[in-house]
Amino acid sequence: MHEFSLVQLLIAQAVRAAAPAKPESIRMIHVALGPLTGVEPVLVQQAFESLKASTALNTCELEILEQPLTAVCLECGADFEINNFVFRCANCNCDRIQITQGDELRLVSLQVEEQATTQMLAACSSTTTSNKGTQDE
Amino acid sequence: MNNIHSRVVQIDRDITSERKQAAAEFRKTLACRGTLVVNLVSSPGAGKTSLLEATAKFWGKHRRMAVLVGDIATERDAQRLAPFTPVRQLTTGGACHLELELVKQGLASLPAENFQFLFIENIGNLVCPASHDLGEHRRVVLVSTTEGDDKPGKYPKMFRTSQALLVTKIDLLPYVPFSVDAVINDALRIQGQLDVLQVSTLDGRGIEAWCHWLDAQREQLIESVGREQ
Repeated sequence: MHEFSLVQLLIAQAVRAAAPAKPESIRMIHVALGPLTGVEPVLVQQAFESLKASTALNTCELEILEQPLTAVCLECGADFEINNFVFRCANCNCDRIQITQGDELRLVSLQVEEQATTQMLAACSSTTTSNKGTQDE
Repeated sequence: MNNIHSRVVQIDRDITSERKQAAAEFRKTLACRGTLVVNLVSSPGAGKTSLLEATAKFWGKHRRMAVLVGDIATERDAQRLAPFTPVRQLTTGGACHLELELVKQGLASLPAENFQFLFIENIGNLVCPASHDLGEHRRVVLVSTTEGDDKPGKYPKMFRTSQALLVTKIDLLPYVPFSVDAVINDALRIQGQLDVLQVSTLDGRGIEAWCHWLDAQREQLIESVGREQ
């Protein structure tokens, strides 16, 4: 059940990252989850739903982007995807490989919605912010 | 006018990065003291406590070791090991794995001396402990001959994150359908750099080799600290 402790960390970090915006203004949290984290996306989602109820994020949604497990070969330099947890180079079959993606739970971005003030609109026009919504791709 | 402004805050950070950093700091501190931290992981009943008992008996007063033993409930393992080694029980009260904070508390409650080896006997579980870095220098996964020899493939993260595989209870091999070759091949498919050892705490086979392996790991650790300084 370590999904719960991870989601607690996630909520705390999302709240910190949103500041100075209020926690209740966070509409959506985007995370990237790799297969080597040992946590199940479905259970992360469930943990989030049950934990958010008692926080200011009770109307916030969580979007989990499942990441492939990838590695680089330290012998031949090939970049490849690991399937079925076979940790060998897809090119030269050696086992000297380094995981490049797939062993972390990454807080990617937050979508924050606020009542715009004049100052905020002024600030936004000078920074790279987006108001298009949730999807980057 | 109700002017709702929506913006995207880019963060892109591993949420466990603080935990990972804390574990790295603990690892470094203990390395500088000359203490090799070994995290023993396995399913319940694979023989972690018996291995530590045999290790302490083999070394006697020739090595300074200490044990932090994790269980969900009871102090049975600590009581069992207490005649042979300094030991503290870490009781998680239900949690399926140990966390670094608990390990730090346990270490602080041990006699203040520079141990050469600090063993952490994790909760018997091949899933959750795989995701928790306890600041160890070596993770050793035990598989006993009374379990299936197909365990590595079913719990890849645990075997991927370990540095050694210990096949335990090899005295039972004549009586159980367990292939040592199969378990080793399955584990090496996941982690090709694994050191593999075979032991029996009942007849003592492999205990000396295991203790030599530990000594060699500690020598490597001390060399690596020397290189950094």
